[in-house]
Amino acid sequence: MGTLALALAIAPASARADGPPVDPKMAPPAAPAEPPPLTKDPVLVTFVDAPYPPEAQAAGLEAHVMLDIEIDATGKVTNVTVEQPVGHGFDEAAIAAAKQFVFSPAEDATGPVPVIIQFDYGFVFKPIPPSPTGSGVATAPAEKPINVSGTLREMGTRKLLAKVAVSVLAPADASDDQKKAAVAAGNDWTTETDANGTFSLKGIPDGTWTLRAADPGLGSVTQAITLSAGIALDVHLWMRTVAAEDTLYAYYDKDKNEVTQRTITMDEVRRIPGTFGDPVRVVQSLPGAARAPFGTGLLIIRGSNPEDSGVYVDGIRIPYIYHLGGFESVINPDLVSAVDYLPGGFGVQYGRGMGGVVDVSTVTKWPEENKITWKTDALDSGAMIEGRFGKKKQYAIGLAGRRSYIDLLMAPVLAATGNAGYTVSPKWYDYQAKFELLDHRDSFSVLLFGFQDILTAQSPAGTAQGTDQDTQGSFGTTYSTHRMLVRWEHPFNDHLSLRFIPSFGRDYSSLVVGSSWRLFQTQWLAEVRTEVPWTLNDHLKIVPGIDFVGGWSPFEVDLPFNPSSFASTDPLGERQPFALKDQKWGWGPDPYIFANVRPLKNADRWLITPGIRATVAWIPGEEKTAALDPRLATKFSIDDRWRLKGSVGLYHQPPQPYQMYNTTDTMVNLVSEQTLSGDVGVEADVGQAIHGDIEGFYKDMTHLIVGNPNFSSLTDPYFVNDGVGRAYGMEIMIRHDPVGHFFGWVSYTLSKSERRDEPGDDWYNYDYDQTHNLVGLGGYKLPLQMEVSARFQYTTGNPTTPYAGGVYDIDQDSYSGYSTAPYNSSRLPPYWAVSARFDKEFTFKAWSLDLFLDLINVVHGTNPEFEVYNYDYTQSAYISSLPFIPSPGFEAKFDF
Amino acid sequence: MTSERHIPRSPPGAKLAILAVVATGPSLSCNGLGLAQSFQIDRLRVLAIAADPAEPEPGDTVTFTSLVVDPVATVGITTWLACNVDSGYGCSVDPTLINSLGDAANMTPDQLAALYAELQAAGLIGVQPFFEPTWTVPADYLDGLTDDQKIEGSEAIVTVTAIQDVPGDTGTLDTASGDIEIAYKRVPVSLATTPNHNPQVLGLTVDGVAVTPGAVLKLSRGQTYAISCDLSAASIEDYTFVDDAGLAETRTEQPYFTWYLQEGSFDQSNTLWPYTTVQYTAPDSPTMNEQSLWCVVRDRRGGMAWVEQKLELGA
Repeated sequence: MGTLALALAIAPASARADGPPVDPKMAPPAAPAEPPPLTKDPVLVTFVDAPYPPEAQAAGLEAHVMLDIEIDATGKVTNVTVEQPVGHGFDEAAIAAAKQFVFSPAEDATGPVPVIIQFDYGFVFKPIPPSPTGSGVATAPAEKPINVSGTLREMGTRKLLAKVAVSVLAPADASDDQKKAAVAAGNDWTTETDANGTFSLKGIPDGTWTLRAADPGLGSVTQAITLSAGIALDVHLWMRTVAAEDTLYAYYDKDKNEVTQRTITMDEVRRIPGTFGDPVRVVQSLPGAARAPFGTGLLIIRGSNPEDSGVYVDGIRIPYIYHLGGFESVINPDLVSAVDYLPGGFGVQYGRGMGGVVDVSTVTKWPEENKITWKTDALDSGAMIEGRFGKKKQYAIGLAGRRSYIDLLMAPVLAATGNAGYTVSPKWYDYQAKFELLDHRDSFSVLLFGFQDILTAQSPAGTAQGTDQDTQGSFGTTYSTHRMLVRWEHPFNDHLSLRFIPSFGRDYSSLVVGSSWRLFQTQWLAEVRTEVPWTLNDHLKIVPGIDFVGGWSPFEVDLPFNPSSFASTDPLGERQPFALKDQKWGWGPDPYIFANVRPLKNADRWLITPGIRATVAWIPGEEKTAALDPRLATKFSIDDRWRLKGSVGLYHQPPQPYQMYNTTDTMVNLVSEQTLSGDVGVEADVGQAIHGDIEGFYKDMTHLIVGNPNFSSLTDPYFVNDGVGRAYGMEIMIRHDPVGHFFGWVSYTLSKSERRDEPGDDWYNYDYDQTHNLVGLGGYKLPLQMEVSARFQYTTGNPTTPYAGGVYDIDQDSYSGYSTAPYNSSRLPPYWAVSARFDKEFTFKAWSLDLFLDLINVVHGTNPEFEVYNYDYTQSAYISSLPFIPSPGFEAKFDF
Repeated sequence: MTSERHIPRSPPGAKLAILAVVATGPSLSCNGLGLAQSFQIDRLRVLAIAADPAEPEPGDTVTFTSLVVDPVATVGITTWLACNVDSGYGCSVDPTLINSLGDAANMTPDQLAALYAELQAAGLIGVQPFFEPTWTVPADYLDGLTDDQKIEGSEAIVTVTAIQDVPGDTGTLDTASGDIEIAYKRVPVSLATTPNHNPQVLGLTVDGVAVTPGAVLKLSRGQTYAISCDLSAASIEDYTFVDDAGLAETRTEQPYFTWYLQEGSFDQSNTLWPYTTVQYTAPDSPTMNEQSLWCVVRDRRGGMAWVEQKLELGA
């Protein structure tokens, strides 16, 4: 009997792993059900052909069996299940064959990991050719010349496709003779592409035939061919694959210590409406993150100030994360592989922050073919080129850059609105370059990135900018960052390794208003993170490390008045220009150590992570402060579905650089702000791709830095540690992995955040306190390479302070508002809005094109963002958030 | 004046709110469709206060004039309070005393005199239209300062409360029934060698033609005019400033103009010297054919002046 099992998905469309390395059924994972990115997909190295089920053969049936294949950390298949049975013996045959598959192990940044992949095992019917003897056994064909040959490539990437079945079939309008010939040929007219994507077929008779290449995991392509007079054909087939752009998605159990870690892959990021495809902004759709005003990406996590949260790129913290306006982060999304979001309870590897952590990982998976990506949307355009080089393609490099063009659009807009004399020029650029050593025992990469944002404004001569004589004329601000980051990981043996991440860079900021206000600051910064992970056995791993940060900062300040004089507030005060030119250096070595303790015999079931970190900030002559942060986190698997988690710890945050400076010879004497934080939660795997997570948290904030209410001269401290705060709440998330056609989640946060600036004062609502924050989003892949996605958000309105009127300062020509109610005692109306996105992809031979339309705030965008008052505080109105904004764009990818 | 003025840093509005009359202030009218603009006079406003002399010495008697406008009603009473800066921004006064002025018409001269005395004892330096505001700077006002500091001086705060006289009211002055405007102004007190003087507005120039002072300006509805506020040459004063290092420096005043109207629009509501001209566009459909616009000038040293121009809007 001649059976044929064609199907083979070389790279699975999606994958996940929810089991431990040895036995997923006996040892459920103790790690959070959130997937850090894989650095290496599992690759099928041994494929086993399934026998064609006799029942299906007899009935002439074909089928696709969707399998979940569990693969352990060695690449061995440990379990196979059928997602949707198709019957007729296909399921059993596919399972039996798949259990004999062998894969290369999947890996993440720390090494091999277990995964579960989704595998489409296809059965393509081939009739058994009639036997002259009637035995049903095919006879050997006579040797005939090759007269059809060619190559098979993937459309869009030009990649040569190997191990794909290629057949010559009778066309739909075939003659009876042709049909008989095709049946008689049987497997003789079928072959498989070799490693170079080439194929050849022998003895195809003259006439018009259908040449078909088919792979259930990739897709199929047919092309008519005509043979005549014995002339051999050279055919080049292009297949539009269905899974070429899918991102591998994995849940797995590794030594992740974070109690609450939510990882978003770039595949999800690109599909979320209203984010401009920006990975950092996606955090705002997750639990714990408050809604930022005007659709900006401001990080307000678990009731903390935006400056309390840190954004890291490959483990190194960066000072600015957003371009002007806060709509896009400074890292090109094309260079990002995943975003880890840690709203709280994070380990001692992260310091100097009391809010949350957003850790952006740059790409570690590189395409086989060189690739150029070009993207254009409403804000900017950018390109990235990536590929491998070297004799064995053992080096990879990616170069990316973007430039905004809002400034180019502003001039005609201003002219069209009758403001031709005004100039407003916001612009930015950013660049990234990454080099990585591949297939080496050591891991080594160099990342270079930077950006610059510039905003200038100028009004016509004679047009007053307010009444202050020193704020007339032009306005300009610039800020920029440049960094070089080296990442080197060296394994000494199976138990001990070294992770060394030095970085060096320069930050710059300036502000110029008119001819009297000038602020310039440059900061040269060196940071080094060193870790020595030491795995003693299956139950204990110890990771000592140190974060060193040091820098030198020259700065200049020119003001029209001395900030300590009453001329700064008195309109009649005679101003005396003030100039300051100084430089400071500072450093802070933050040592830390943590352990992964697995006390149970089944080591994966319970993980305890104690750790401690020292936070040091020292600016000679200005500030010296140190603090210890002991932290403890634990995760416990009740069974293979349910997990408990919790953490408690101290988090210290040194004063901001501008708070650690004064113009006297005395020390600033501020201490680090402190938060005692605790959280408990439960995670559950509801189904194969659905996960739930509920968590409660409490944060007690002390030593918060506030303005000195008694400041009256430069000898007084500008700031004091008198503030306190508290935040508490509950977070819920239900998530469907990007498996199959759908992905999405529902996120809900119930929280309260309050502050008190001085002892004895009343507590007041934090500026971004939002009692309820509900986000629902989802995306669905449609046929014809189309996709739709939508996002809904509802939040409680932000607090606001009602004013009852104003008192006129005649000399200042302005009113001072007065309130008869406490600060932030009122609220804006609730916010709700819906955004949507539509994608259509076109795949051509050598390139692909994604056209998208982001419909930001397509429903109810005009929500109140701020309450503003008129000149005398007798009227108020709301400033609305962004209206409906259709943002079209495209992304093109070329392979060469 | 130096930059060393002894003024508390807390928001003045907060302390002024202790005035009882503030609690009866105007209610909010939030329509969410656009907010009233500062240059539009659509309610009771205190636009300017001038002290004469603009920078007195201790012992000088200062008289005050004000520009208080109310497009819909008659300004009932304007109270004046002058306080040493040491008392903070503004003074407190029993509102019943002010309310009793509403019955002034029925009082005998002796009763009025007694009431005035009581009001002065409470800190009021004038209650228009009953008695004009004057304030004699105490002779010891600058005591405690060094000679250099006396040259730079200190400041007093004058607070003005304008109360709308609502027609058909009860006969007594009820601070809760009408509109109220509260304003304050600093009065420099010093022994300066070059004391400040109020600027002098000569009048307006419309499209290059000087308007006769006091004349009604006839303009066409919907038309745009270039209007300049003309100052006397002496208005832009030179003065001496001594910096922290003791170095004397001659500076020149940099006044600015604030414009107000009832209907219509300006292209900008402020102009900074040497720019003195705004573009005024008369309303297409005015609710009143006779209106006013105002130009107020500040010399940034405490000196003020203004001009009111009557308009007649025709076709």
